[in-house]
Amino acid sequence: MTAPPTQARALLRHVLPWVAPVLLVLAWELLSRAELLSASLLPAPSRVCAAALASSRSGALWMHLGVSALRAYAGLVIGASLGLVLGLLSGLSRRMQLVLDGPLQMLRAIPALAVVPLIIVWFGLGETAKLSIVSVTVLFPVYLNTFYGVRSVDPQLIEMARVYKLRGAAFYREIVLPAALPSILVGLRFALGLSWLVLIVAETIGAERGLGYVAMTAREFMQMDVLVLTIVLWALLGKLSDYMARRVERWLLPWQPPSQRLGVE
Amino acid sequence: MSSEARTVRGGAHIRVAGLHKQYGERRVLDDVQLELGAGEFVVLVGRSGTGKSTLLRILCGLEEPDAGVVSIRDPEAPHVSPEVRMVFQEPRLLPWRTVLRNVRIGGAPEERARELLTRVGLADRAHDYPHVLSGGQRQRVALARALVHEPKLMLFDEPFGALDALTRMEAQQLVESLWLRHGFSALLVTHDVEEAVLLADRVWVIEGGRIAQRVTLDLPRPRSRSHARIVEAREILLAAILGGASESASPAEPVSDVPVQGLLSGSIS
Repeated sequence: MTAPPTQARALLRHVLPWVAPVLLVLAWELLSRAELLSASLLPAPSRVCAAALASSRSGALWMHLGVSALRAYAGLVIGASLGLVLGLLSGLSRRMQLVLDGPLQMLRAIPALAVVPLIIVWFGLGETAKLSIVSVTVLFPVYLNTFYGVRSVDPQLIEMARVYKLRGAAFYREIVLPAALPSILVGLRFALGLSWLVLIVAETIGAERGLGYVAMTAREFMQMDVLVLTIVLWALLGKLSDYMARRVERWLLPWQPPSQRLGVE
Repeated sequence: MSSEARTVRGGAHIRVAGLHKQYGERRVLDDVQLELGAGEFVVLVGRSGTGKSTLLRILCGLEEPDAGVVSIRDPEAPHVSPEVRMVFQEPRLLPWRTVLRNVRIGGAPEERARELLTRVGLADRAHDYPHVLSGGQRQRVALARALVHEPKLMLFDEPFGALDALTRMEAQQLVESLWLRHGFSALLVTHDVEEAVLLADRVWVIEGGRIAQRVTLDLPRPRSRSHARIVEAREILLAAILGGASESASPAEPVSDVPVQGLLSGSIS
């Protein structure tokens, strides 16, 4: 007997995403073993694993990850909250849009690296400097998507609300915020990814711990296995952020038809 | 009017005089006069772009007329402004609220909302989200939502236009039975002549921004589309509409009032 097609399809759905990464790692390992890839250019996956194990056993890996996670998520909370408030303000009021949107669009164009010296001058080398870099970076995607979400509420629903006498707070609670929420979550998803990415910049500022710090020292001392390990960690963290964003979306948007959800499961 | 099935009366009385509405150069409503009696069901028919929807949108406050008087009054409660609700062509449900919460929009009590859902046959779907319902079911939710506050005037803007033929028939019957039961005044826009014959006490044909024809349909209710008098009324109404179209060439033509009852009783015996 063959498996029922639905089961086969479910199996396929879980297996397919792993095909490319597994093949890549296998090829990489084989090429290293055959000494076609020089260990000083790119260490074999087994060596990277060994580095991971050693660092995990000593606890250093977890300590660095923990410090970075704290920075990433604290920065995310601050930046995303600010972005949400600013996005709501300029989405809901044309006047606020005139005041806020121009300056924010200009700020958005500035690369984080360019402001590092300023931030050091202002906030010194402590946590404030690192958090402010993360916060400012994640602010923009949340701001933009919140603004867009508020502005793109279905005009048909707005008319319906008028006929059904929905006004004031009830109007925002029942119509505007739920309508904007999918878009806000898209912003949050970007922000979640960015908060980890920008650590490489934030943790160049007088850091003695954290993923960015590890990557930087590995680069300076040519510890190729550690360097590759940090790259792999970033990839895994990105995947994890993505997964978290999707869970949050499922939880907050139970009303969305499956076809409208972000990505596939 | 044979109305033994009718339990409640008491819709709003509507009077509109000298109504004008213009979008840029285009005159959509041009000196519209009309009067709709309490509890009456009037169907507005006409080609696309003749101002039918604009008239409804003015009546429910979505648009302001350029000139004219609109009075919506409940003869039984003359000092309260009567509730007006509109059923749009699209159900316009909130996708993020369950069926029950959609019906309760604007603060209707849960019990009342459930009662209305039972009446439109969707009591068991109260906790579903709109996206799992069919088009016809969604429109029934929209009906329940409109009725939950006991409106005195119900406006229907081509409410069955997007439904398939079979679902449309069911929906038309449902609207008739709800109207018979609730006794609201109703103004329904359609371009389906059969729908007009099934639902209307009177049919107004709108043309060039004004009401060009008024046809009274004194037929028994509830109506069935296979009834000989219904079939006949449909022919007569169609002839009146098409005739009206040819007459519209001469603007001085007076508004005609065709009593279908008389014509029919003559031809049936």
